[in-house]
Amino acid sequence: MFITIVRTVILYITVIIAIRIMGKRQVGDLQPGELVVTILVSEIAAIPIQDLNQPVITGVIAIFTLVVLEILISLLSMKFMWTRKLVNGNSIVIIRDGKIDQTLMKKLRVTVIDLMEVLRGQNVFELNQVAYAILETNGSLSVLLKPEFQNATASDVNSVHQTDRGFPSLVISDGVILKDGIYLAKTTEEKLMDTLNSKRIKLKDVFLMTLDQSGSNIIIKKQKGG
Amino acid sequence: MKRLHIAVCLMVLILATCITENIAISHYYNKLDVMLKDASKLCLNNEFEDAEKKTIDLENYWDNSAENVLSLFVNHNVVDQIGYSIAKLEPSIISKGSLEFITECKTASTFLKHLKEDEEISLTSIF
Repeated sequence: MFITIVRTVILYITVIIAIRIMGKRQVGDLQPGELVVTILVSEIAAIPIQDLNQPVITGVIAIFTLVVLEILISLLSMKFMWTRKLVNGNSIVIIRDGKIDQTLMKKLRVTVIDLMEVLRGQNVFELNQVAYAILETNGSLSVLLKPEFQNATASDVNSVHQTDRGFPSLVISDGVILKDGIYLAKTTEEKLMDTLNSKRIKLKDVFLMTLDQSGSNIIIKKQKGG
Repeated sequence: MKRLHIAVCLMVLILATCITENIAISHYYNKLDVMLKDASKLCLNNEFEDAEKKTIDLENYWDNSAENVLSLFVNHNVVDQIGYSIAKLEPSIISKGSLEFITECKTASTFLKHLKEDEEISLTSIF
């Protein structure tokens, strides 16, 4: 039993390292090649955990070989278009100028029910609102609405003056100043402390503080006894 | 570029491990095979005392070195099978069971040969 625990820990660390090396893309939108690697890594990691007769090194070697392959294929895909096409395929336009390409849908084995389901998932309930729908290589559907159905943006409304204030970043968490947050908010620790001093709040009493580039901030103090 | 460097380092590590494995298996196969053949010869020549000494050396070498290293790379069932065959050698030579002794020597040798062949890079091993 102890062996199983130790092996599980070793392979858990190996898989974490493997996923970290492969990059964040691996966790989110998976391309076909990445999906294959992810499935294989999980399967391979399970074998030495379950079968104590299998040396751990065989699992570790197999996982790292997949990582190397994944990195090499992604680098080749960046360099050569044909590799990308071969491994990931192409994005396909299934609705063009509001017209569904039925031949392509048949070829891709996508039914109208599937299409409507994905469109509803993107808050599009009427097919006639769609100008373009593109089936991406990772299986997701990108939709561009006809101009008359698109939401108005700040640039469409002349009377609204918008300034870019960046986004509020977390600068203090549980009494600790976060350097990454300070960098994102384009400020300094001194300025941050000045803000706290002006409000007569001690750093250790701050539960969280967010700050954007315009200087606008939100401070939540720690609860007493918390 | 950082990922490419990591990939190259990993590739080197993987290759080094594979080469180490093959060298280790070849080394232990060669050494154990020679010891098994020597022990068989001594038994055939009715030199039972020398054959027993050889068997004890073989068993010690297996227990203290070969088994530990081979278990790192090879399925433990295969290593255990070789271990069982080697463990049977001493009792059979003490009881002067020549036929049984030679059979076990041959069995252990065959297991070792299969082990070496399975880990070697060849079309048979791959497919």
